[in-house]
Amino acid sequence: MSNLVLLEAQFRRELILLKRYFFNFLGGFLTFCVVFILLFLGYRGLAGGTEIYGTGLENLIVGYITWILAMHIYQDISSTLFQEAREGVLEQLYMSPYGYSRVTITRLLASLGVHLVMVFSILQVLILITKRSFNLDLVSIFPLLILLLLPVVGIGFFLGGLQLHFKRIRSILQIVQFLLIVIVVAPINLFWASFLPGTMASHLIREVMIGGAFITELPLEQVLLALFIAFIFPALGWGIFKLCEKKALESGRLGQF
Amino acid sequence: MRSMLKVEEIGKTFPGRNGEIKALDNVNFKANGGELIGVLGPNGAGKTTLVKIICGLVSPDFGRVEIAGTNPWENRSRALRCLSAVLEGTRNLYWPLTVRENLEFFASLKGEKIRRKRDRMEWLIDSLGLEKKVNVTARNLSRGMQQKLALAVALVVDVPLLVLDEPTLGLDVESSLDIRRLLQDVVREEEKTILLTTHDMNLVRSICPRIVILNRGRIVTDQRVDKMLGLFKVKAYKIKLAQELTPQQKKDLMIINGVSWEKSDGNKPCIYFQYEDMREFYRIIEILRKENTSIGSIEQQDVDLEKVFLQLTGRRDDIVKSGFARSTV
Ligand SMILES: Nc1ncnc2c1ncn2[C@@H]1O[C@H](COP(=O)(O)OP(=O)(O)O)[C@@H](O)[C@H]1O
Ligand SMILES: [Mg+2]
Repeated sequence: MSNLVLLEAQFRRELILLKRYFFNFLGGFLTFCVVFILLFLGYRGLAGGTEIYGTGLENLIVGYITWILAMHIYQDISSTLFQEAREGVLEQLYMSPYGYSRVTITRLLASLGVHLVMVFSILQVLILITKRSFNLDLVSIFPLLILLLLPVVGIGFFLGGLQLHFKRIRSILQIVQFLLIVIVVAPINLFWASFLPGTMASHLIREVMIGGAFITELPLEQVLLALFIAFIFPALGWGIFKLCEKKALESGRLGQF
Repeated sequence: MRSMLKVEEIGKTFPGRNGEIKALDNVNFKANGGELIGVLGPNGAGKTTLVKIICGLVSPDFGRVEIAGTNPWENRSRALRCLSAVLEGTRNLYWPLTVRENLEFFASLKGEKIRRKRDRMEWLIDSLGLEKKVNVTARNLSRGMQQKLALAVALVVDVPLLVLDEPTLGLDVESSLDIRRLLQDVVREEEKTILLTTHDMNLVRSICPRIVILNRGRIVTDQRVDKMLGLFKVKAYKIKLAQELTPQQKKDLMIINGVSWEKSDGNKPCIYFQYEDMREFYRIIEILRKENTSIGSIEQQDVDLEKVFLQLTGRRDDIVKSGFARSTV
């Protein structure tokens, strides 16, 4: 049984839905651009004029787009799980011989593919509006993005698991969506902040995109910390998800919402 | 013959508001290749719980399940490769995907390359009359069509064991017939083992040669239909009377188990009687004799599945008696 078959199916499904709900997608895309324009105007107003000094704006842009990406990946686990349980297909997914973990991971990869394209397009729009330039060195950025997203995946699984067990935690899920902003933009000179899921990685992304560093030039201890966080959060989240799943199988409430 | 499905001493208790609910209690049975078994039981009998335990979606407190020799609670992936299921209700499809997309997606979910399943998909679409709907999303299909698609999705990969939970519940007559026909075809032509649960007497009567009756979490009988009816026939009698029963006689008869009476056959009263214990038979005769009621005849009664089911489960409340299926299929 090849994993590629499953991965292809997930990509295909993602593209079908993208096409079918293209106007939703476009709407989302435009909303993100408009929200940014408002932020940008407000920011310019605060800065008192047209001239903006320093890298404040660049930080805003990079923070914004990494947040969008993180949020989509997070939603893809927690909300999709809810939706699948409500529509009932969750139990069928559980009956796949691939196992639910591979089903989810392949879906995440497919979703990541689509959303990377979206976020990259948003970035192009923002660059057009603000006339800033970034170091778009994909070799350095891509691994760091993975380090940013893995802890977010961990949080998604953690809350997804709680959802299997407690069912009604939808409002919490939505709040966390916005807490992700904090995680992504928190400054790492606050000691505790550098241990937040994704914060260190997102700092490193800024170092590359704004500071122009190549991945090998980044401080080793920061990269190691980002790696550690990218390991520990998914491991914890996955563990809790599995525990809740076991409870749900015992209480017979896996697909019930 | 190799046994495709083994259910051994399964027990499952759920916590309920008023104490524990014993959903399944020491359930045992085996199914061979090519068997179509109907699990018949009233609401709350434990049918869905049984199905979910077989599918690995609810963990049993006791006992074990084997699917083609593999325990899904030990080697999940291998067991699941031999099994497809249509669960209760509309819980088997991706709503935003079309008929064809659903078939393709679920084929991949079972690890099959879509390209190798084209012919089978066409065959399923044809035999379930879904041709005109291939590009309609599952969300926009009628309930009957959704259920047919769910069945097609379960059959798109050629697995040896198919489990269906209430496959015709709430369907129109035509969809229900299409589904029956296809199930019979796949049992005959592909030697699949099918286990279906239902509280629709007509469905099992028309297509299941073997019936397991489940009541309050226990198997009360597991027989071939013809044999089951035969067994009951031996014990079911109809006593035709030449005159009315007196009020006192009615009172006396009322306390005997399995006795009922009504007028029939040219307005002569009849006593219907199913005995557990021969002594009860003599008691009835005694009651009749006391008032010199003359007996016209005593004959074996015709039994049908409904009577057997009522006798075994003692429940009349929620059996479906749609009546159309007696002669069809
Ligand atoms: N997840 C659950 N939690 C608590 N009780 C349950 C659960 N699932 C089923 N039950 C109870 O177990 C019994 C059997 O239910 P079920 O298997 O759904 O029966 P059927 O499908 O035959 O109608 C019922 O009394 C039902 O209320
Ligand atoms: Mg049920």
